[in-house]
Amino acid sequence: MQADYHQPDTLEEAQALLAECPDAVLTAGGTDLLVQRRASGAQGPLISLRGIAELRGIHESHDLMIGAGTTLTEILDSARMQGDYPALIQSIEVLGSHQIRNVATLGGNLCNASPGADTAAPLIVYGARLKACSAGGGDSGACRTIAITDFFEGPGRTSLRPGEILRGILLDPPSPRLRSGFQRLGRIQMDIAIASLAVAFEWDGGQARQVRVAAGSVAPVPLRLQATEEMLEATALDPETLNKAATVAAAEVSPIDDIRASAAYRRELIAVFLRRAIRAALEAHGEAGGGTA
Amino acid sequence: MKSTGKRILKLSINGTVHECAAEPQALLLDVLRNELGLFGTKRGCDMGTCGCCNVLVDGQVQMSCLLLAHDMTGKEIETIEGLFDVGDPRGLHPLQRAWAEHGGSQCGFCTPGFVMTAKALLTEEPDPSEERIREALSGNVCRCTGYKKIVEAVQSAAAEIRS
Ligand SMILES: Cc1cc2nc3c(=O)[nH]c(=O)nc-3n(C[C@H](O)[C@H](O)[C@H](O)COP(=O)(O)OP(=O)(O)OC[C@H]3O[C@@H](n4cnc5c(N)ncnc54)[C@H](O)[C@@H]3O)c2cc1C
Repeated sequence: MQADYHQPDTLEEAQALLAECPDAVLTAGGTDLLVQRRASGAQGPLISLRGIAELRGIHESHDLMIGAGTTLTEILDSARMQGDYPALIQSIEVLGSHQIRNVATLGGNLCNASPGADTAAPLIVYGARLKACSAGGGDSGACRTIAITDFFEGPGRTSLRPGEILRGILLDPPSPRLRSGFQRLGRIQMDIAIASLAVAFEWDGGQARQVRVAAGSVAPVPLRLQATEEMLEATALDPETLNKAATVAAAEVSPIDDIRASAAYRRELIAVFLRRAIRAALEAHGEAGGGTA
Repeated sequence: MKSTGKRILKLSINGTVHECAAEPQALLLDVLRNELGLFGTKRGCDMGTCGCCNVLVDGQVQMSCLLLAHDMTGKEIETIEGLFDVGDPRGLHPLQRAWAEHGGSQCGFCTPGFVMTAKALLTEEPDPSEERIREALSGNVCRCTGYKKIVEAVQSAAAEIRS
């Protein structure tokens, strides 16, 4: 006989179940979790988040909130997301396959906390905040907001506390001057990235401001590259600056050798991706800049 | 943690409601094959990578090896067994005919998954480019051969369905 499968209809119910049964595991799309359980043989009770309408959809008020249970296909299909957050869209376009994206959720990609989670670097450069809620407190329980840079603690580990459910991903509305993009290389599309990188910056009269750079698959967690950002801040993103920043980026990451690639190759990719991502972000708006990749 | 026995499950598959008992965490793939005798849906890699177990859920292609059957209540599931064409003497759907005519199968194990993926694509996009077809099928693996004939089969079925 199998352990139970709970299918709550509301977040409140899910929180209560989790509080009551702390060894139960949450499942959203299940594309990470069910594969991992099959490999490990784990068989405990599951709480499904699929039936919870509050966790789904892209909601606009001042900020934009993407429900944690929104599927990657739903995000790809959103005209608002395509127009305003191209780096996130580019990361989802190459994530898994159609049948993965049709069930996999944005919240699941983050909570699984793989160093190579493709949506993490774009969400870092967009300054995403994560809303997490647990049982108790008011109507929807006790909620707090976590900066995405404080969310990842190591492979498979996040700063979510026991009993907390990720409710949504909050994004600021982009300014018309925001430029952003994403670069990735995998052995084949269906494979986890060898390395990935996202950039975002305000392009202000030929100067880059509020530069953000983040990279995936090159450290135990998706990593913000602050030294690289500083090199690029308030510059014209001229070839010389880009080349210097690319060298800094390659040194700032801490990749490992594994079956997919060597650490040295990953550093080299990060340098190339930085130049390419900046150039492509400008070119998407018909603007020039950047060095040669 | 307490264990619970099988629960009654009602699934709408290929337009018919089926009722059976299934373990709480039963996979859709196992229910289709073991409870309902629908063997067309194949277990390949069992980890979401090969596409052999693809079915349509409310028209969208999904992997039955990563779906829990009890989540499928209220959804319309379509499997390879649901494909047919009343106008064809053998009842074959244009995709199935095209697969046969273009040699899209060798051992045939991956075929149901490919055909279901292609069906979802053609419903969304009746006239996809070759690049689009290849991209749509990128989550389906064939270990016997290349993909050329498979792509040709989809192109030919698309043309037939449009005409
Ligand atoms: C064949 C294949 C290819 C893949 N390719 C890629 C790829 O290219 N890039 C990539 O980044 N990933 C890839 N993945 C991994 C996976 O599909 C993604 O990480 C996906 O976004 C996970 O979402 P999910 O909804 O399926 O998560 P689930 O598997 O349901 O959950 C993942 C983890 O997050 C927890 N969780 C989920 N939702 C919440 C929540 N709201 N609150 C708290 N905890 C939660 C679960 O308990 C679990 O630990 C691939 C997977 C497969 C099987």
